[in-house]
Amino acid sequence: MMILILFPACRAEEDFSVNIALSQEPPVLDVMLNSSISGKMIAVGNIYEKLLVLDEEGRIKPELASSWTLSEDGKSLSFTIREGVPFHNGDVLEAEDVAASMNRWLDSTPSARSVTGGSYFRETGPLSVEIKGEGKLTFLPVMIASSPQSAVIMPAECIEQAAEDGLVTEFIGTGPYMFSAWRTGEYIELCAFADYKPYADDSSGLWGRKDAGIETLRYYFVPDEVTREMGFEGGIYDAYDCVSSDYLERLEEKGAKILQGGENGSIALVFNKKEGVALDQKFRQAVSLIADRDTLMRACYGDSGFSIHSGYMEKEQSLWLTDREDPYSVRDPERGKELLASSSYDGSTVRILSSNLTNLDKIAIALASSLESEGIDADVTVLDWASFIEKRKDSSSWDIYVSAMTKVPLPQLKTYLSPSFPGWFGDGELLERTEDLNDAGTLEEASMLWNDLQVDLWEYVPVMIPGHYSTIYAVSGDLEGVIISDGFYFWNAYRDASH
Amino acid sequence: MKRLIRRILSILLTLIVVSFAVFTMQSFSAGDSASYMISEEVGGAAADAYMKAMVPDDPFPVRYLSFLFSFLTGDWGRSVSGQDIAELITRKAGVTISLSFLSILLAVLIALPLSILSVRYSGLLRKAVSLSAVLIMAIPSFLTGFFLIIIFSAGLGLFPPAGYTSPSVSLLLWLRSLLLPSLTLALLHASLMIRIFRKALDENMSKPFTLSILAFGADRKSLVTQSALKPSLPVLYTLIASSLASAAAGSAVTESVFALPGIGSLLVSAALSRDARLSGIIVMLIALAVSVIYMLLECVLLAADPRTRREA
Amino acid sequence: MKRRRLVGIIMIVLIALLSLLLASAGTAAGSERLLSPSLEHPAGTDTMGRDLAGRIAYGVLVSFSIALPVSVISILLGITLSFAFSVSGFPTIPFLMLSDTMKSLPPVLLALFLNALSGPGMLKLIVALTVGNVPNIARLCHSRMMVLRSDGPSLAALSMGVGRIKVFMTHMLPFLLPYLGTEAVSIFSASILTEASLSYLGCGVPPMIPSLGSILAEARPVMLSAPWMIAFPAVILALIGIALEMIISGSSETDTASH
Repeated sequence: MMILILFPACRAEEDFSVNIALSQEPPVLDVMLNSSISGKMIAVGNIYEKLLVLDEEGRIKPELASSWTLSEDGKSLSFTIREGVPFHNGDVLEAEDVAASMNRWLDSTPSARSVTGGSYFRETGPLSVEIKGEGKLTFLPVMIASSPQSAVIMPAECIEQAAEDGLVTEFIGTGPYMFSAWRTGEYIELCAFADYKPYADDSSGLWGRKDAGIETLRYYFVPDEVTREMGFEGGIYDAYDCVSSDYLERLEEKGAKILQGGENGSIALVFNKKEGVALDQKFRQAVSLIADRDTLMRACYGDSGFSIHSGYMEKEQSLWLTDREDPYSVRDPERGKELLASSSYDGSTVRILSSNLTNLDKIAIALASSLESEGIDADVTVLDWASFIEKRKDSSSWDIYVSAMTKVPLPQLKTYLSPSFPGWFGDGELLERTEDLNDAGTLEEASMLWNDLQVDLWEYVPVMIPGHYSTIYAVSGDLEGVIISDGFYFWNAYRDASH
Repeated sequence: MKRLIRRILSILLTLIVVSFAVFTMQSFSAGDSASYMISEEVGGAAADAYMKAMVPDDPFPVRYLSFLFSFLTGDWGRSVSGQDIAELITRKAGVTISLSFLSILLAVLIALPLSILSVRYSGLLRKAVSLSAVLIMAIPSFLTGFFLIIIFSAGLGLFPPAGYTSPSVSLLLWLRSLLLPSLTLALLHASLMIRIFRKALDENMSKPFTLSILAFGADRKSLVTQSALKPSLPVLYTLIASSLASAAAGSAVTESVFALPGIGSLLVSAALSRDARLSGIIVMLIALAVSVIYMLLECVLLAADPRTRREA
Repeated sequence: MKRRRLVGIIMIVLIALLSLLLASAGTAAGSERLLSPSLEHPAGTDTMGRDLAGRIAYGVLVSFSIALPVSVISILLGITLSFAFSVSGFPTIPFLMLSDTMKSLPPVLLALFLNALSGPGMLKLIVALTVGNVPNIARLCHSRMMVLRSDGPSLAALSMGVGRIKVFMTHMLPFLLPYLGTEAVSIFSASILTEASLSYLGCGVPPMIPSLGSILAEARPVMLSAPWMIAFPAVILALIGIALEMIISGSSETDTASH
């Protein structure tokens, strides 16, 4: 505590702005409806805050809530809201805003809705809300804290005034930074909110005290990695994301700080289980045995920034880690070819689809190369993100697609386990068991169910997970206090003049 | 006069031919670039209705004419990712235009003195210039760009290796961000210019009127600038025009190497996103721009050399 | 100057033969990423661990197999057009105006547009490169045929009732061929460079086929840490370009000398 009080005095004179280069521009900043990572990094925690967030240890901590309770039977969840929290437009946070925001979040997040059923939040007082579900709401808190579609709180009027397409037009929140400008294709600018009051004394991960030492944050969109790196070296940017491992040595020599958190997500090779060559389970198992996971991951990430394991969830999510092994994860091309011979595979060309985002297309090419070296004809189509999403919907045009799946709080949230998502998960029994996870009474119960389910999923091979990635960030040597947690956050950043 | 009329006709003809070609090819692949807007849940009937709205069942000539009309009136629609095409193009046009003009300017500044000097002082200089020109033209322009980056940016740290700073932020930074890309194109165009312009100078140097002046005792070196230069200028103007015209194509590659947000890189990303509409609009615009440039060339040539006026 | 042309031809043939010998797309092998040149990998390995020398050789063959059809088709087109120009009823002026409109569609632009319609492809590439040459070929043939309009022996033969085609083949074609030949080499050279640029952008040869342009595109992020990935393809491209240039400059001297 003493040290923290000293901090303001030790800190050098406030620097005025920090320029950050991001590899992707968010399509919209309505983070409730859109789960893009760049949108989250820019808006969540900066502009908006949530009722609950996860700290460094992954524990659920209250942010805009001052306290919260899950009833004994698990069917009712209630929150007491902090008093006197100002919005950027001058209004004060009230239960009405929380209820409206949380209900909008429920309406746009199918995975949350499947937990709450038809129930919604109601105001139970000027500063309290509650939701009563028909089933158990065991998972709702962790979803509120860490769902990819963020459960952020905004004024009720913003929601009412949302545009025809359902997106909010103004970005008003309670966070330490206000939205200032968005030059499409160039940058988004945020500036410090003068009336922000920290709600805690210390900080851990995404929770806690936010000091907004930097006056202006400017997030530039620079899809080209060479430009990001060289712009950073040239001093145009103070920080950038998705650092290629090939640059690490050079960056360290120049005095930059390399930051890396845990695993942020996994690479998934999703099979087309609706039609085509991948319809046959043996084909999928064969591909899993033939592909060289190390080569696939290195093709995209270079020498570091990834780890190879086929669990669907990330390593740090200890609840969902299984002690069993994926029988198809150890490379065995001979066995793979045997399986292929006994399957219905007729020798037709395997069509691999990929976007050209952050080197994912290299994985597709490496996969094709692996297949070709075992005599399987493979062809790769690389598309821009927008047209990739479009093409993916057409089940007659691809057999395998390459995608990066971000970390999610619960396994049933992995999109490739859904029958309606491209990939078209088809096994009825496995689907039922995935949905059963929602009905688990406790997280421990769910964890045991998942342990068994994971093994059977490995056998069914809806996807092949060659490995998980952990994004590397580079930050200027004199910038301190940058928080890494599935993204990098600057609300406690400051420039260290002594550097 | 007749020539000018022919030029204007040529522009119109270009417009019709190119727009017709673009339209025909687009209608054969209407399915591929469906809108980004239809969400994943919308299927079957709704998607069909949407496609029908995009490609109405009117007869071909009617559709073509309405396509041409909407192009001419600036109603260009949206790109695959939902952005307004007219807005995209107006925002990015400035970058490409400044890149093109700056590179032609640099090319002339390099080519003109070098051509004249190597005619004046043939020998080692001429050979060195020839060799450099051959080398530069032997490799694709993006390689020249790579080498410039390695030498001037990574090596000497004088210029940013990539990225664009808009002139509204800082005029100096803007010029700096454009210098290496312009130089890349300039070196290529200059090499071509030197080769052709120098040939024209040589030819004019051995023309009867020059030889007769020499016979009267004039100094060879100053002769180059006095006598051979002026008649060679039309060749230079033609070179400038054709370089400007090919700058459109050159910019696609250069803008990608140096990550400049111009029309060239917009066309490349349209190609990568299978955006038939956006790429069609850009192609038609560039075709128009190129024809206009050639027409302007014609005017300049007419003004510069009265003799051509009589050649009908 | 014929010696210069000969040296150029020899260089190209040598490069082609060497490439035929060494060409190999390579297999991705993560553990062999970015190895510097060694005995086992004379040009090192690329970002996916594939042998670079084999890929460069393959790329050369791919470039040649695109440039060759383009040049050949261009020559054939030139011959056909020249014959058409010799026929008196042929609408030369309108045709030239039409072909001039194609000048506003340089190959790179046309190729990018075709890519936007349906992705990369070898055939598309050849079409785009050929169409781009039509205006130049047309103008070249036209200007040469203008000279031949008043060619004594041809007129004499025609008036004696010799067939038009025969006159064309015996009297005019031999005059045209050197020009068309030189133009074809120019087209070959330009096609190599254009294909490299398009493949660099990802809009040339399909992604699975090695190409000098796509190798250089992969090399860009590691330009400074793995310079061999740029150096070797660059040297090969330069050698090809210089050799072709020697063929062209070696030829035009003889041409102008004989006229």
